[in-house]
Amino acid sequence: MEKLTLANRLSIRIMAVLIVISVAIMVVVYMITKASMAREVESRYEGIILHENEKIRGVLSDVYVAAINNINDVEQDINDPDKLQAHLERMVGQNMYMSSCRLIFEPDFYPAKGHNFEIYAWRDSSGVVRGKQMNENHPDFLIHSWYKAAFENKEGDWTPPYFDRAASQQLTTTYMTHIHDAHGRRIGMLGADVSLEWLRERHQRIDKENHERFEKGFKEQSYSFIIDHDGTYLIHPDESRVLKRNILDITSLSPDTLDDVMAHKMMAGGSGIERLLNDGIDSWVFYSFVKYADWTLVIVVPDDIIYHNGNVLASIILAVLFFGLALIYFLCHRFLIINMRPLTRFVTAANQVAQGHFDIELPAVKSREVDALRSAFKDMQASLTKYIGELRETTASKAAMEQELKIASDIQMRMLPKNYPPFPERTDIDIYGEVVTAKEVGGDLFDFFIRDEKLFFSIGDVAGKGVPASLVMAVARSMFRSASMLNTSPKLIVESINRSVCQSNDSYMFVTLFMGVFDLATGKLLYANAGHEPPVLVGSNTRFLPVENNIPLGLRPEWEYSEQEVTIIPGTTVFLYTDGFTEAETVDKKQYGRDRMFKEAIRLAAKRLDSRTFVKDIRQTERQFVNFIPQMDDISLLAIKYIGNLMPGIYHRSILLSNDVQEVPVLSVFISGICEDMHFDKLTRAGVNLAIEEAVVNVMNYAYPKATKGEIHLTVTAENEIVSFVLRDNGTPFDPTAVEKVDVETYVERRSMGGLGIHLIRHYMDEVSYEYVDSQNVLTMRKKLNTTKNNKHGSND
Amino acid sequence: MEATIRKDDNNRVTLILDGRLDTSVTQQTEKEVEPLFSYKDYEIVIDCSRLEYISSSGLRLLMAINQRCCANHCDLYIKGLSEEVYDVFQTTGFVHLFQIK
Repeated sequence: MEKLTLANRLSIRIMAVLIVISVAIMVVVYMITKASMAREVESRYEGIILHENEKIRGVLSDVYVAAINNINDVEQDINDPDKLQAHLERMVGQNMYMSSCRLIFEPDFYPAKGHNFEIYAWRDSSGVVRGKQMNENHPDFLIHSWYKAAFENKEGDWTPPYFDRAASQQLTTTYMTHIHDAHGRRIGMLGADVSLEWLRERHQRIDKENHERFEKGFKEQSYSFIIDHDGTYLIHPDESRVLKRNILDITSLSPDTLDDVMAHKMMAGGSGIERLLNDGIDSWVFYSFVKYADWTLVIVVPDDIIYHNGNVLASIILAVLFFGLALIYFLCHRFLIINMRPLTRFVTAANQVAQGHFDIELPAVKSREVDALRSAFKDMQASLTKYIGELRETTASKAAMEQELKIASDIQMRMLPKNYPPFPERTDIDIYGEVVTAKEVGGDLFDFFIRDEKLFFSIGDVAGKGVPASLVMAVARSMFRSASMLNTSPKLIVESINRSVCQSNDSYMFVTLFMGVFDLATGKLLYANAGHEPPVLVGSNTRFLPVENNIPLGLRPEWEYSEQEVTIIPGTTVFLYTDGFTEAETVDKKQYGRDRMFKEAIRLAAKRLDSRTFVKDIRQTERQFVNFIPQMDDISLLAIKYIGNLMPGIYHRSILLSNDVQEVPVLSVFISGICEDMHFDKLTRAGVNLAIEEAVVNVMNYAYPKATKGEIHLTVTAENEIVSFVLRDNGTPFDPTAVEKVDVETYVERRSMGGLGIHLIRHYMDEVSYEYVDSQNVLTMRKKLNTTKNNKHGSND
Repeated sequence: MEATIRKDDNNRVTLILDGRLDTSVTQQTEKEVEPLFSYKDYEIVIDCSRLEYISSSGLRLLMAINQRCCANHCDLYIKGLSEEVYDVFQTTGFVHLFQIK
């Protein structure tokens, strides 16, 4: 994941805190605002409803007062019914809210006027006040159902609203009050009518005003209505309900009972505010009881309208806050980036320094913290410049030294014998040695040479390592050579080396050395040991060579070394080593040890290996034991196998070759020696030589994949007049005998060279067989000693 | 092993093989005989009187020389084969492939 910049991280953290605080503020502000704004809107609608209530009451009371005031005038002129008409007309004319008025007399009060007599005055549609007198014979006359009830009342009262068909053709309510004759008897009633048309218009206007002023754009808007004391709708936007439906019918339709309770409260003359679900809309219902008329005035307002202002205000606050936060974030981020800029410049400078430009100019800074960083950086720069300078010098001198060490190492390695087999012409001795140095130059040495049929050999280890050790080793080695030229006694040779090493030895370096002089003809070995590890005699009776304890070389020039003698029987390998081999350690400090090496030597003795294979195999056991960790000390191994002179019946020779045709001359020398031993005639020698070379070259070229190293082991044994040549390799299984026998004549015609090698092998050998055993190709070729084949060739000539 | 090319006169060249022609030296010898192929319409003599030994790779080399010389319209013959080497020639049928004097 990509890392955030410091500026981003800081600004995000600051923002997180700010957002939490802001959210808390917003929630509180929203709640308070919403409540107070709702309260405000609520008061508005309360105001409207109260004002309306007052207005209705005002109108009704005007009409009522007018009616009461005219009672006396009417009662004074009671005996002249025709004068009464003028009173009524004046009443209507004086009172703008009075749509009409009437006098209804008890039946037969004026016998001349008919049974039911009524005087009526009204304002027509053009505003002119008109009047008429009616009895049951008049076409417009109606018996008012409410009259009887009103007359029975003790006091005057408002009639329930009714539809006035006689005059105004409008919804009307009438204030009915009794009129009395001179004796105080009730003789009829004076009715002052109020058309509710104005009320209807007024309500429409209020609703319209509300819609336009406060509720523009809302889907659901407020509306108002009026109900009677028994719940009948008097005014309602839905005209079909007026006088026909009851509020209880409507409220009972909805499942909840809140509205039913409210309707009952209304009808019981209550006032108040309720919140309920009206026609599926959350609404506030404001209701107010109108005194005298026993009506209830209702305004229904949807929730949205009540809360709208609060929501709007809250949104504005929210927007402002949000904008503020965004601004803070932007500025904060900006400031941080500006303040972090020096750090970026430091990064650039540091990269430059990392690329080796130590003298780079550091950027100028303003803040104290960055200045501290700057001076620390400056110090570092100075120190770096200094140290790198020093390091350069050191490295240069070290490189020069290493180069010299490399040269020293090369010279040292050149001193050691490195061509194996060292004496390919000799069949009686088989020597292989190797040195593996732990550092550039080591302190191990071994050397050997043959003089006068005697093998002079030595192995040694200089205490200490490096160039001093290698110099001492060089001295010891050259002294071994020169002293061995003059003497044949190990005692004298070792003493001579000792004196030379002592002479030049001021630093008390010492050398452990084993040296021997081996008579190849007799198998007699003379040896002297100067504090070195005892060699192992590997053979039918594997054992350590007993050695006397003489001090190492280089300590006491006058020391007289003792000399020992042993006879080596053919087939025995003298195995010499340095302590780097036996003291090889595992990671947890366990030593390979002399005992373990001895056991391995016994195991390998049974295999009757050649010296090279023996050294490789025993080294391998040590490598495996220490689990192939790099060695700590130089390791030198030298194996001298004494084969001795040919003995009848047990003739045995072997050679180990690598898969390189350049080894062919070595092979050739080896085979020539065998032919000599077998007293083959000239022609047979050439044939055997050719056959073996063909077989070996075949393996060299084809058994191992190109550019990989492989080994080829050739063993020669002679028994019962038959010489067997056994060729072994670990390469790809391949049976050369499976190649078709070539007819010389045919192939000459075709001139293809395939199968020539095997043809030659078959021709010059008496028997050829192949088998694949233990992952090894084993090709066995046999040659009879007293063959008449030569004669056969001779006859062909 | 040594291979020497000697121009005897205007129509004869002699290749002298000296020593052991075994697998380890054939590659080197192959390079050494290269100049032989610049002679056209010559009589080429391979002098084997000092050749001690020949392996199958040596025979292959001779075969290659023979083929390239034929392409150059040269007459090629071999002389001075020792008994041992002749035996190999006979065994491999090479006696039929070369003119041997």
